[in-house]
Amino acid sequence: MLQMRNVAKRYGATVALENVNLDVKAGEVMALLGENGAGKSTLVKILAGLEQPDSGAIAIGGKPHNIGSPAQARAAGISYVAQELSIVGTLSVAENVFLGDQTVGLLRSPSSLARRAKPFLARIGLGDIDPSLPAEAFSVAERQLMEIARLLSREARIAILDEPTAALSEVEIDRVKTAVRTLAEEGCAIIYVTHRLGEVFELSHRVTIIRNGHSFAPVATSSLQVDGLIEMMLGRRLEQMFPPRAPSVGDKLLVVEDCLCQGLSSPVSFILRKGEMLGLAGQVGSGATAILKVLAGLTPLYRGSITLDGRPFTPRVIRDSIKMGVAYCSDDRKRDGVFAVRNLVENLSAPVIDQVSRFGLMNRRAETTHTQAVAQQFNIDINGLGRLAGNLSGGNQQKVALGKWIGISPSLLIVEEPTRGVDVGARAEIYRHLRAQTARGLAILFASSDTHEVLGLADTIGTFFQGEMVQIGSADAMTAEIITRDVTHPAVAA
Amino acid sequence: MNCFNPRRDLAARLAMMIAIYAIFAARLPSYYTIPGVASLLDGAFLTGVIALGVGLTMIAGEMDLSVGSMAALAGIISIKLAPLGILPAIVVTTALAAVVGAAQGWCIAWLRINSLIFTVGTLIAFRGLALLISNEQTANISLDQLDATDFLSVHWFFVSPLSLILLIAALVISVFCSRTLWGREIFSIGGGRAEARAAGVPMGRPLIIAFALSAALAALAGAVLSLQAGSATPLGFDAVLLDAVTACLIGGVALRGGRGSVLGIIIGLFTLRFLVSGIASLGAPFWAQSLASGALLIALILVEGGYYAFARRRAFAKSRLAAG
Repeated sequence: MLQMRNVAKRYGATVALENVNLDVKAGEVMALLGENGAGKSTLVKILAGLEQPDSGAIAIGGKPHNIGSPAQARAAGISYVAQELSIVGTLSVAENVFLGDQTVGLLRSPSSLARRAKPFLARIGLGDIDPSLPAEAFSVAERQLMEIARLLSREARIAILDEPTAALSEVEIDRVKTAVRTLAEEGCAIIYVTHRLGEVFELSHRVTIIRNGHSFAPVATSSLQVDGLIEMMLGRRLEQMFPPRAPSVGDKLLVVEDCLCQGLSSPVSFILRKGEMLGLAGQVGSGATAILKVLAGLTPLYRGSITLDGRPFTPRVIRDSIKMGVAYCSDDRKRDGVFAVRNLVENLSAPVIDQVSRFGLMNRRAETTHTQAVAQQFNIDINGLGRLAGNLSGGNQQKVALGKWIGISPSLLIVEEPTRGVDVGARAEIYRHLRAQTARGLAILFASSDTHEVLGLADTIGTFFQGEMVQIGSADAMTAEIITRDVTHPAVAA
Repeated sequence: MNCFNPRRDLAARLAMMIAIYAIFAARLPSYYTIPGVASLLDGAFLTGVIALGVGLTMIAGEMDLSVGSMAALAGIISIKLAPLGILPAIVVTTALAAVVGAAQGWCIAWLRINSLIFTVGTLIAFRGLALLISNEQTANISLDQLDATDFLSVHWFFVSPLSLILLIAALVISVFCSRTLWGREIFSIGGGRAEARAAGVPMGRPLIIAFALSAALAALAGAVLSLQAGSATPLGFDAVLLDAVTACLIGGVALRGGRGSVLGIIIGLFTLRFLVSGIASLGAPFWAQSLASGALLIALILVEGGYYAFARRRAFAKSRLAAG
């Protein structure tokens, strides 16, 4: 039904896909597996018409196709349930089911639309909701199910589901599985992207693994074991990538006790010591980043207690955290990591702007001295400080986003996804710089969906799955297999 | 579970409009006599017709700032076209404006530019064009044609051509908004542009349609009022944009897009109208009218903000309870 040959895609200097082949037959569920950053999402975006490949050929039903826009993808019979939701909250449920569908007709009455949406909603277990209510009245899980209802309504020949169950509970996941099976039985070719290995074994007929922008020949699911699958996903390890762990750690710095917050379904406790690096591993929506946001002052703490250096620590806004010497670097560099249209001096001095100014007037010399000191610590070219941050590569931008916080001499650095969108070489460098900071007594708490990163970098590792901490322990006792199992399929452990 | 209910929201706004009407009607007989009601309705024509268009662009998550200049330009053009006959002049002017507005929408979609920036440009440019075409003079209809425009000023009870046009425009836009694919696309790109795009909604069409309708409605209002008066000045209609936006905001159109309805815009329009005319009829000076409509808008925004915060907290507490 669908064939992709030698597809490649780069974003600037970063290669997302180097050489990918994909074959999906009608009536088949093809699981697409790979680690974060392996290129799965890029691949499905190309199929959905949201991205254009640099080279390669796509054929549907034996005929070559050019997919230039989401509308063209739709015309080719491809339907896509995105990882990020594509439900418009202000529209009604029924309108969302038929959103983007040009064939429903120009004239529509809300009641007839609701009536027509009803059977599709019923098939996904949403039969009892009122389709004329706005979509924002429903939970994220229900909205995800609405997307699948939309997919059903389009009678697609090829359906792409990109982590459709990431935000769902068990009951809801069962509804999705039933819908996927029905779709396949009706002759639809299904590409199913997931991190949950249980679903792979339950649903898929064949598995295609993507690693570092390359695809592997598809394997029949029935011939696979959980362990073998994990090994294939991980591939060889890059031992030399990570600096050695801390030989010893200092006193208790951060004590998190019985804390509950948005994104967690059961309370977490852990202790972070000076000079220690604690890595929280988990997929998107697993709750690994939840407590980081509380510590940064972004979301409120519902329950539990946090002490920093023996004193209670309850930041209400980001500024509180910064005052207490807690720096936070989010996973969205474009949004709040760097000022893309300002130069590096201004980027690096931003957190200490009151230290390099007097009575509101900037002291340029103090600013330059400060930024040069920071730049040297993070190996940023001090002769290029006049360049705009937006013109740097992802790796160098990340060095700026992280490095600027060293300037406030924090006691705790919180990092989400320390190396998202950073190439391999720059990764090793960032890891080295972070480790150098902990040697000076800085404690680092980071969350990552990259198993290798957590395993290689952290001294202590916590694993998260569906809002719960699966386990926490010394990194010496962990292996890539244990972490991958914990964050994808902890049931196997029990 | 539900923190926003459009029906309850509209009902609250309607209740406020009725309350304001009642307060003034208790003191002012002109609020219920036939000529009084007629003048209230006619007075709402300009702001109303333009608010429908601006409201559409606001629902699309954009804003057309050029409507005032467009109305002035249309006024001049319609006077120049009056020799064709009054009705043809109105129709041709409106159609021309729709084409220009569509081009404006296309540019905004194609350049992916913020419509505020683009329409500041056209706001100034249309005014310049009006001055150019009018030769910087007030344009007057020829004397022998004055009689032909009389039909725009007749009244049947409290209904006039002006209030009929407003009513028809509101009905047409309302049906367009709630019952057509194209109208719903405008709501979808305003409610969530990235989500709508991912769902396969084309980005160009809703923007082109919203801006074409906005320009056409502005031109319709400008042409009708200019022909009714028999003259048009190139510097006219400069205050209408803010009135129209205020009416939309009072009527529950969200600035960030996606929310709003024609009924809401009409409610907002008359809330504002009842308040301003009432204060004026009671003999208050002009500053009191401005102050009152500003205060109303700000009070409403505060109440809305407070209500959302309250609803969020309640929804949040409920979800915590549900989660155990």
